[in-house]
Amino acid sequence: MTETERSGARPVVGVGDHVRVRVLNPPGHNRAPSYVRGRNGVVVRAVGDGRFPDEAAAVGADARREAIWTVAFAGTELWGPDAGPRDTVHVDLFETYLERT
Amino acid sequence: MSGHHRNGELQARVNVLLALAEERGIVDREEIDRRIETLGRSVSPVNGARMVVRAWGDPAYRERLLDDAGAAAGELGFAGGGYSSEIRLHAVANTPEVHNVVVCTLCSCYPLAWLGPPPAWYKSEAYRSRVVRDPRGVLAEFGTTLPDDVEVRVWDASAEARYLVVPMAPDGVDTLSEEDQLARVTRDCLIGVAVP
Repeated sequence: MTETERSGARPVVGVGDHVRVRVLNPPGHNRAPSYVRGRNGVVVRAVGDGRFPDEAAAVGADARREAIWTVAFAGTELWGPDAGPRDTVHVDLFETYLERT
Repeated sequence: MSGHHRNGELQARVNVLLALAEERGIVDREEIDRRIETLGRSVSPVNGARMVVRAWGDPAYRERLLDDAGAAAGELGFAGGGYSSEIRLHAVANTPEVHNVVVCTLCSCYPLAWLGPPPAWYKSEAYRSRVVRDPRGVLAEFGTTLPDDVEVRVWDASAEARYLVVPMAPDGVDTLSEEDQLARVTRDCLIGVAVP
């Protein structure tokens, strides 16, 4: 996936896709909760788009817009075998944070 | 609950920033007071309760609510918006198979423009860190015990959407007056830690 593909002009993931949250630790702002980084989930909903927060924190309203997806994670994927087998956590994530698996 | 001891320090910083912004003509303190007053008058959890009770009695409204909650709120005169027009409202419905509960692990995102300010516990580090990891345990502490075969969906509002839980109607809802139905849909039901 190139940076151009991540520009928000064209969605690179869609509802139903299996995704992994990229492990990113940029020096500035980041809006991917650390407990989902590197974890696998399924895209369940298109939220719409918004200003990419990592960029917006630095440049404000001029930040690029990007698609936001709700990703469902199994509790056991996040917390291990002791998590409730029927529990899920749904997290809204900007597209840059995601890669298809 | 951790986190509260920092409020004093935070308030002091806000006061300094506000004084500077006022001094430089960026903000007008009277305008800020007016906005806070308007918010306090126009939004409360009763707005969400009205949406839920309407959905209980009107399947077509329920469908619109689950499809586009912002528009469905607007139908009842709850405009939302406020500090950011980009914030979208999304309603998630409890069913016999699924129970929903809302959190913001990164800060305290909440459908404030529709429901008013969140309760203090919603902003506590204890709630935010525990409800994603052990939702059933946290719900039980709120007095909500769910059968093992019910899926618990935790919604972590970390971007441009805010979540509202649509609880199931209690048994015998038809025998309750509208006022009694509204009273059953508490703020905690709309967050998902309680059921009517």
